[in-house]
Amino acid sequence: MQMIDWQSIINKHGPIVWKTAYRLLGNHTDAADCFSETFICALEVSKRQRVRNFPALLVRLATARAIDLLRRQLRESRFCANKADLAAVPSVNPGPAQQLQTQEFAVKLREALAQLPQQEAQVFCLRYLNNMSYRQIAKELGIKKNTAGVLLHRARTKLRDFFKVST
Amino acid sequence: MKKQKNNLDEAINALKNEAVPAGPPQETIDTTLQKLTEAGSKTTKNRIIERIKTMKPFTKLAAAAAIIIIAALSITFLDKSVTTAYALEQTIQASHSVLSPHQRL
Repeated sequence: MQMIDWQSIINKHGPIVWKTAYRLLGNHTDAADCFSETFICALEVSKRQRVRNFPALLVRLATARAIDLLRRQLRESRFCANKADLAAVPSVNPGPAQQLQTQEFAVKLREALAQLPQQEAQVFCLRYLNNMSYRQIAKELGIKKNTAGVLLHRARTKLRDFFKVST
Repeated sequence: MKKQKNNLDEAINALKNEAVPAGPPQETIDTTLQKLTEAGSKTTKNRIIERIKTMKPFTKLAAAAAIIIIAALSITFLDKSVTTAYALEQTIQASHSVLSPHQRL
């Protein structure tokens, strides 16, 4: 088993995990839960196998955990825009109308992601929110590069349909 | 179609460019470190027990039902095998008492 200094891992990669979780969940409480769960999962993974790329693993785990939480919220019908800490974060948008529209889009996308199959949502988030390449995604998820492409295409098609219905 | 595509792209951009705190609060880091220390010190046996504890009641019931079914089936099969062994023994004993075999053509 690898000897890992978790303090330094958290200090080094904590911010990227936090950003990944917070971006998908939109509030402090859930992001904090997701943050802890991600590192616990990473510990379990490190017990089973040697971890070569911690940031990629942590981002993947954080995305998976965040999507799980979104899906749970959707099942429990807790999904609402009010839950997001909109006032807690200073906005960079210029006008209130544009700010509102942006927030609305973000909430809708979260809702749509919660309805996608787990792997498709994961591939979508890793590609578009974490800027990972197909190759990195495939390596992290243990799938083929082409499969990652197919999953991404399916996710995009479903999301497009979701936005078609909801607009 | 173009408008819908734009909507999706706008949503992606909205989520991507949403202002996010730079890092986790110190409290979250401390809690996580504490959980990691606890999880690191746990033995496999403890983890299994904890996992069972965290199971939903329905899952526990299903697991119990599965164990009972397996036990019932294994008892049935074991009984059968015992009977078969007994029958085999009796047959062997009976074959010893055979004096003359007859065959009908």
